[in-house]
Amino acid sequence: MELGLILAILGAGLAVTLPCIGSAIALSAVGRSAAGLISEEPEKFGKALLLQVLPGTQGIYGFLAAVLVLQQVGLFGEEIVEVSAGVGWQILLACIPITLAGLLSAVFQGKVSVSGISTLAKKPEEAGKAIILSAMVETYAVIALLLTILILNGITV
Amino acid sequence: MNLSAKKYEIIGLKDKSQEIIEEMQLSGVAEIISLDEGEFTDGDLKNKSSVELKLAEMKFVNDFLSRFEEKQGFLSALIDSFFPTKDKYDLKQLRNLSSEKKTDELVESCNFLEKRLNRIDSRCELLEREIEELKKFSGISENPFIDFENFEVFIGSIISDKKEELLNALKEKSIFFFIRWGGEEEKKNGFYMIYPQEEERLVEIAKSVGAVQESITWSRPPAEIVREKREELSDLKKKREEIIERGRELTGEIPKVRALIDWYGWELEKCEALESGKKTELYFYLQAWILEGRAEKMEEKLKKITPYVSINELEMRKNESPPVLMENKDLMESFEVVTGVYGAPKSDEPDPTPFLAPFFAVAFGLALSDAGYGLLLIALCYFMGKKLEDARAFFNLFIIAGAFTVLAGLLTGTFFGTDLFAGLRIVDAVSDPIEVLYLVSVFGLIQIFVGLLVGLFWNYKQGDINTALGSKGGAVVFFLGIAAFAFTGRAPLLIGSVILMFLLNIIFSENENPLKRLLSGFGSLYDLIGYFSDVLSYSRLLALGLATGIIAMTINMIAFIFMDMIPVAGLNVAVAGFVLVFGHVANLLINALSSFIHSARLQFVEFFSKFMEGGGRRFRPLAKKGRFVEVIKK
Repeated sequence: MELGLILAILGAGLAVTLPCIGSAIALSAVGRSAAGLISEEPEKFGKALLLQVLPGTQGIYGFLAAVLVLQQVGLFGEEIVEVSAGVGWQILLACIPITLAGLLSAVFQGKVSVSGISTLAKKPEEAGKAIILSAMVETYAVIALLLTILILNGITV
Repeated sequence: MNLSAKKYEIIGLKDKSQEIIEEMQLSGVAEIISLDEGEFTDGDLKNKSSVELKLAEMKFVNDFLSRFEEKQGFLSALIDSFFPTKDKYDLKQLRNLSSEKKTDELVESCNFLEKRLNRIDSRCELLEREIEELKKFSGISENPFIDFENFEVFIGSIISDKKEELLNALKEKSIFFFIRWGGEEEKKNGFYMIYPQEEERLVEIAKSVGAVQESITWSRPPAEIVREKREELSDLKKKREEIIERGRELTGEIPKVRALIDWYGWELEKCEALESGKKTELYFYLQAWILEGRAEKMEEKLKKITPYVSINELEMRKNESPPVLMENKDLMESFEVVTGVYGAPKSDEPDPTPFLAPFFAVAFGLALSDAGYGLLLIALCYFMGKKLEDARAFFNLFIIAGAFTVLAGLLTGTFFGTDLFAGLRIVDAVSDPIEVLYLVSVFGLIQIFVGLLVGLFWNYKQGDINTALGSKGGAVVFFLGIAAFAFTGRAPLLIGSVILMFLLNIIFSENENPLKRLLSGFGSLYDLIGYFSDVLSYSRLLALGLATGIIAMTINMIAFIFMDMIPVAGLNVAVAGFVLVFGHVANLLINALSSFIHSARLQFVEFFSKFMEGGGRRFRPLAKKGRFVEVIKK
């Protein structure tokens, strides 16, 4: 296998794996505190679930970047195209923004969501604000994803 | 629009206080102000403790009977947690319900059942523990604790695998001993051993092999004890089942009990409202925020109860801010859902709902941007809105947002991730994201410009001419300069607008000091960075739109890969169909949530900051609004 293709696959793999790990860490933290809440007030399950899924988006963003890479190198149902080492490096570097921002923003968004669970416990009518506060952290994953998409879009394979 | 409330005092005949407060509850236009020096005592509120008791009883019955209620399905429980269904009652029905003797009987029955259940449960727990301890000896049908002369008894247990080893070790010594195995438990086996008094070392041998001495004695054979305890346990479990069955029969009463929880909650609210007021021998005195223009009508109603009641407007204290009620009609009401997440504006700020409505809908559409998803969202919300009338405003919001999603989907030519409507495509987000980036940035510029205009108008209306023409006016000029530059390509127009903005900020600065005025001018230049980052924030709409579209495309691809991979005809179609349906519904739900949150954020952070601060207190009137019940007029 050519180095270019290897680098592209590495980029796609990292873009999925690290944000997914971040999302899993965050979801598990929020899930644990949500479980404590719904043991007392099961009727709050819906809103707790909403707070839990929020930091899951980073995993999806990573997946999205990976799909774009796979499409670009023809690994997604098409014929594999020849990828030079230079282009491979470009693709790998293009994946870095969503890989790192996805991983870390998911973990930190999870922390805000955990605090949101206590808002939900004490003032359920203000749960919407807790959701927005948590989503504020996600902004930076969105920006990173945007940059990854724009760079990938500019790379000619 | 914002409905502002004014401060009033209400003076009325004390004997009629309950009826008066009840009428205020029914009107739903007055929020009681708690006076620190409330003078009502327990003696004045004779029924407060009985109401509290009744409320506690109803809550207990509800909690107790809920244990036997049939569990809801996952989906209906999920829907119910967001939009709880309410039973409809009129006041007469509720009043009759509260005076029903049957309710007292129900409380008594539940009390009795709960006590019995608790007793049975604790007895069962004890029996289970005792059986657990004795189980390993349950094969022993004689009592070894008989006083054998010159012999001792050792009660022990050993893991079953070591039974043979123990026997061999004891036999090796060729001394007389008697051992009886308890049986039943598989991993551990209980036993007793009778051995001559002088042969204590047998105990040591048993322990060295792994036997553990059990500090347990029986007055009767363990087999008999275990059997009796098991019989008792089984009888208790039958009785428990009977109680549960009785509990299940009573669950039919739950709707009434829940209605009474709301009813007694309102009764308690009446007592608390009075408690926060003052009194004389004959009259009570309350202060309340009443919605503007509603006090006269309410007074008319109260006068029908007694002529000795009056409502008078009061002067507001300095720095006192009245609560705020947002009231919008028809489709605009749906967008209150978005404003509601942020909270109410201050009483002297505009209601942002009508301003955000078109921008929110467009932002949501651009963030989801798939015509198929838009149609599916409309269909789902239409169906849910029909089913859950109370939440119709919420679902209407998504029907409108869905319609804009269809439009955005047609603009980008995506339909469930396919190119079905590629012919209608104006911009291609996947192959030319920069074009969409321009589009969303222009959208951002327009929304921020509108925000500034609203701010300018509002400051002007409030008499704050300096802010209106200085910072807001300057920014408006700058945005006009951008537009002029974009249409003509003439840079001097843009530079001129910046200079004009700078000058406006100096001229209309509130500071007298010329140096500080100059600083205001430079401050406005710094604001330009803020506007730039505000506009950049709209790029999230592109990223979210791409996320929806590309994941939708991936779902289609995966479905087709399954179709090709599975060789069994029919099965491949079924699997591919499942992937398509499940995948697209999940993608729609996740991305609709993201689209809602991020579109809302654009309103709260980028838009609202141009004309309001928020942080107003919501108007919470006395009202018969319940958690379980909706009061209807008959």
